[in-house]
Amino acid sequence: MDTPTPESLAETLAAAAEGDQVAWRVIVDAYAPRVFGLIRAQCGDPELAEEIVQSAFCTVAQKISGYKEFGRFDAWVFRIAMNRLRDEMRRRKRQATPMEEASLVGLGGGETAAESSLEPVELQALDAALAELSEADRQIIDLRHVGGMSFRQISEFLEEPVGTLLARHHRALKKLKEALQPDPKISRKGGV
Amino acid sequence: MTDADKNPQLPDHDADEFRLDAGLRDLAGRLDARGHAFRDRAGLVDRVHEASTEHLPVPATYSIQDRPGWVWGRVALAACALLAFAVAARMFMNSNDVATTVERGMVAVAPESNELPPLDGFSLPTESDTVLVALLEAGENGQIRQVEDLQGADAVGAAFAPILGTTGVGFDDYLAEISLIEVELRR
Repeated sequence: MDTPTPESLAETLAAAAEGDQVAWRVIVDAYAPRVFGLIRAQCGDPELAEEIVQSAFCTVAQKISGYKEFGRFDAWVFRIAMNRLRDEMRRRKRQATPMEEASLVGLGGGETAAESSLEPVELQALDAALAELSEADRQIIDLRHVGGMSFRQISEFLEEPVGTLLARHHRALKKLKEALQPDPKISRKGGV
Repeated sequence: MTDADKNPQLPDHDADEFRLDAGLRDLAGRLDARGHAFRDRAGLVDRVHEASTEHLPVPATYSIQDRPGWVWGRVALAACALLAFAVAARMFMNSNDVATTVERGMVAVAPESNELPPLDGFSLPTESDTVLVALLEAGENGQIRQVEDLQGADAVGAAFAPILGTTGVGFDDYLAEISLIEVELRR
């Protein structure tokens, strides 16, 4: 489902705010997969990601009547979902036993997308290279290429200047490219 | 024209990929493909829609149940104000009735105390009360006999006799007084 244009998004949000279920379906069609992809990439657990997306969209539905569309709907929805993920990860860490803590480390990218136009080996190599990035670099890659957000939307989401984010994205891509170069070290990690 | 130009909501790849070399653009493309793969999950949209729809605002209708809460608050306030006004008006009317009743009771016992009750805005005795008290006082003072003597002189005398009797003036004296006034007026 394509993301609505700003004009149609405003109309669709207004209709959904009045309880129009068809309009709400359009919103869910356009945003749920993107939000799910981002949360899944962040936590590596599709079950948890879906649970968080459902919870986030329940919150969006509850608050949509008070939302005023100024072109920040993407940032608003993604922020609700990411905050929900952070809360969940904090809760899990509090409840985790030492054995479980070890398994939580793998949540940062252990899960690989099942279906892709990329070869599985290539996907694994990408995941391994992404795992080497800093949290900030990995976040901007996920927001951009999994969440499908524009740099303007990422700027609103992270509350940072677009120029800073463009530079960080460029730097992250260069690090990834270097990490993907044929190298015995990379090959070893790519086999995980 | 790129997708980003047509739809500003889509990732504005051109904004940064102008500066990306071919290798980095290829890498960005592979990351996009990976991202699409992460979004795929069978039945996800249906489940999210089903779980969240019940949290949407209720569609606006014209049924009375769907009025916002503040409307009912105002209606309740207006009803309370109306009820309070009605009760106050009723109490005010009842208090006037009670004052009159009490005052008339006091008038009835006034001869024993030899004093008329105090007069105020809410307890003015009626004219008939005053006449009654005067008659009762006259009876106690023995003047009532004079009144009885006057009865039967004529119809007017019979009507005025009780009143004149309270002053100790006979009906004939009253007629004589009237005649004197007429004489004085003719001069």
